Amino acid sequence: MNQMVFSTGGDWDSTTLHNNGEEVMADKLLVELHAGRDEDGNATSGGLSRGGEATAYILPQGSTDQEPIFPGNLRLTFPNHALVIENSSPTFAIEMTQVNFDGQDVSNNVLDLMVNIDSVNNEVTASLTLYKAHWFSSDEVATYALL
Amino acid sequence: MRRINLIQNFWALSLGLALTFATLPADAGGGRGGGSFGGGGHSFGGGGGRSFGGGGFGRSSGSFGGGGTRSNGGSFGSGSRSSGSFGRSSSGSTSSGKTSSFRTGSSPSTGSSFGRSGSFGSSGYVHSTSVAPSYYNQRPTTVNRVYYGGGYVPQYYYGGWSGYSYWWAHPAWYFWTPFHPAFYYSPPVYYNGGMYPGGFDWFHLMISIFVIGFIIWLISRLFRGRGVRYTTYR
Repeated sequence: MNQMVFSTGGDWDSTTLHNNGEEVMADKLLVELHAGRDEDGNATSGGLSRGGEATAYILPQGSTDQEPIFPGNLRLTFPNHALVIENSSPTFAIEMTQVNFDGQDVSNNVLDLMVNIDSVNNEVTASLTLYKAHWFSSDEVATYALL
Repeated sequence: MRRINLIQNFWALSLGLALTFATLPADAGGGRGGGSFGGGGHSFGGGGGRSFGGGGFGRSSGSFGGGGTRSNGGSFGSGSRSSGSFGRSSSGSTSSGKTSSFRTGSSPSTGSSFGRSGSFGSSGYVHSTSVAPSYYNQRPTTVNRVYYGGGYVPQYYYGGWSGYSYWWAHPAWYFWTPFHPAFYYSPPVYYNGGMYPGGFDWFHLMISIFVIGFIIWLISRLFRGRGVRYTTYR
């Protein structure tokens, strides 16, 4: 099972990726997850418990073969935030995914997660969107820019 | 469109409050409904309705006045239960022969016109106790006299809102709502010849917090904007 650790300080020089304690040279890291929608596609509470779809892989340097990250554990450390995604299911059942954001379990709040670290095309994207239900005010769709 | 939503919200709020109050006990006001004395449809006195006179010629001859041994015509207090019937004594007479009299014959010597003793009616939620109330050893700020249990007894006041406890002696339905101060005080108690206010009711305070919190939540849910807010954080 993969134990991946991604870390970045906000530039390419400080960006590293390790798997089971060993550094992995990669061209691309992609984690894309969408969940927390009702039958009409509108954002709602429930997060991953309502099902969804996800893609997660790395593209090793000089290779075109995608290597799946899950089942396993992916720890992402950004300058201001920390994210842990874990799925031990052999079939990568999305309902089994656990997402921890800055020390808080947000598995039932996740709407979208997008992490794209593409060194070949020099593209960097990392954001997390949560559905926050409030008692006394309108519910909130909060997007956190991780980078 | 916005105006229609506000009207719909107002009616929804009104319905919610009505349902809240509808759950309160209907007889919370102390059950002071005027009971009727005696049962309905009871008849008193005799229903003799005897007829007199002979019937030798095919008809009876009920007579007015005159001699004979007629019984009394239904007088009050009479020991006799018989009553005279007026008019003809033929069968199917329209005269019922019934008379009305209050309790004939011997009656218990209670001094009451209704042959009963004791008190009736509600005295609110005042109750006697053999345990000293919490205010018993404190110094009252005011002492009134109040009629209770057949005589006048001292009624002690201790300042603050404790006097609202005495409101339970004449309860109203709205005392059962968190919006009246009496809701937060227990009914008064009668102890050792005096009337003392009940203590603060912490359980009712908790109920009040729950009810008011629920109402605030309901209002906020009704009037908050529809849909979701979209925010961005770094």
